[in-house]
Amino acid sequence: MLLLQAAAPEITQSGENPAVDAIPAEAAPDAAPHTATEVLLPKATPVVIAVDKEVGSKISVAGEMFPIRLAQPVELDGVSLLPAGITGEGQVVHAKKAGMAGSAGELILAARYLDYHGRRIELRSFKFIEEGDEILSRGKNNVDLASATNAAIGPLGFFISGGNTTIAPGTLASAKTKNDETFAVPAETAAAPEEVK
Amino acid sequence: MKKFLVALAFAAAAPVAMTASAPAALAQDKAEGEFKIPTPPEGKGQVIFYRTGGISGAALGCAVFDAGAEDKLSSLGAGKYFVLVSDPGPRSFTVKSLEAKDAMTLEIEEGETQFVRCKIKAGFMSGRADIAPSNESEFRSKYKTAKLVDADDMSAEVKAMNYPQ
Repeated sequence: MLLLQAAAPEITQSGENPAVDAIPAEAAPDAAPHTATEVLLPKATPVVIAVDKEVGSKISVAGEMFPIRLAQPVELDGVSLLPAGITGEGQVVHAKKAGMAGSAGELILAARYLDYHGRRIELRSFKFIEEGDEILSRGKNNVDLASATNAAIGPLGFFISGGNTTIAPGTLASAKTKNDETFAVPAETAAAPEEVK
Repeated sequence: MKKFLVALAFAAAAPVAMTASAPAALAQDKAEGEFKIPTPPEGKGQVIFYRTGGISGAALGCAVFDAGAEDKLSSLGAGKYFVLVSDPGPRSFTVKSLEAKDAMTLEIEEGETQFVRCKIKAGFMSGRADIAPSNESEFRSKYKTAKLVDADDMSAEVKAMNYPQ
């Protein structure tokens, strides 16, 4: 078997549906033992996932698991290794409701794994794909408002609450693969991009 | 008359001196603004704890502890930061002030830098230290002049990370 090393792999992720789904790693060797090629997906490969359940600083608790989904297929040198839509789980690492004196609600999440035909592809480095000044891991911070109120009219500012943060289903985030992963793909599929060149 | 001439000479030279020194000051500000985030060592992750400047609670420190530990990692004065290098995995922190304490758990990730912001919020009798998750964008936009916490305000471990010999 030819092991394609990941010295300079071209890892692409597109929003389009993959034309050909990756062959299940455990099924490929039986189906075509002499024509399969192992492809290495190196650790720390970026993936785009979607949170599939509403989680939030007020409604979630630390340790709680929540469903995630691969939002974009993972491809290596033009070969689709992980199709979009496979599911897995993330975990709430920290959740704190908004409090008095303007303190914002807090929510820290982690991506744990994706399930690919019963095989766990472990993930790490969860990060919201945020736009502009938005910080999805924190609600509206009213600490400055509360302090200003205290300074102006006394300790009433203590009773000003901060905002909670709620993550809607479908919210996109990035993560990375935790370990090196090998996939068995038909040799002709793996060789196809090179023939084009 | 001589004193008058000396005063006149100083008055005439002052604008020139101030103009001449201005570019140097701007260059310094620019250099400080270009804070380069260090890369965590192989197999480690890191957290940058920071506190923006401001009048609110300026006299109070924001002492950061590992959850359950008696000795602080460091104490953030107004406008200061420090870097904590850590093994990957969950790690909990607390900040303490006279009235209350606040806690937060992070998932330290290999090769990643995370940001935690401390603010002093309003309390009944005195300010309360509050830590919250932040990100690089907020760190760079709200924290223009990064100043490292003084070495004597860090634990030996954190000091070694921030003031390498």
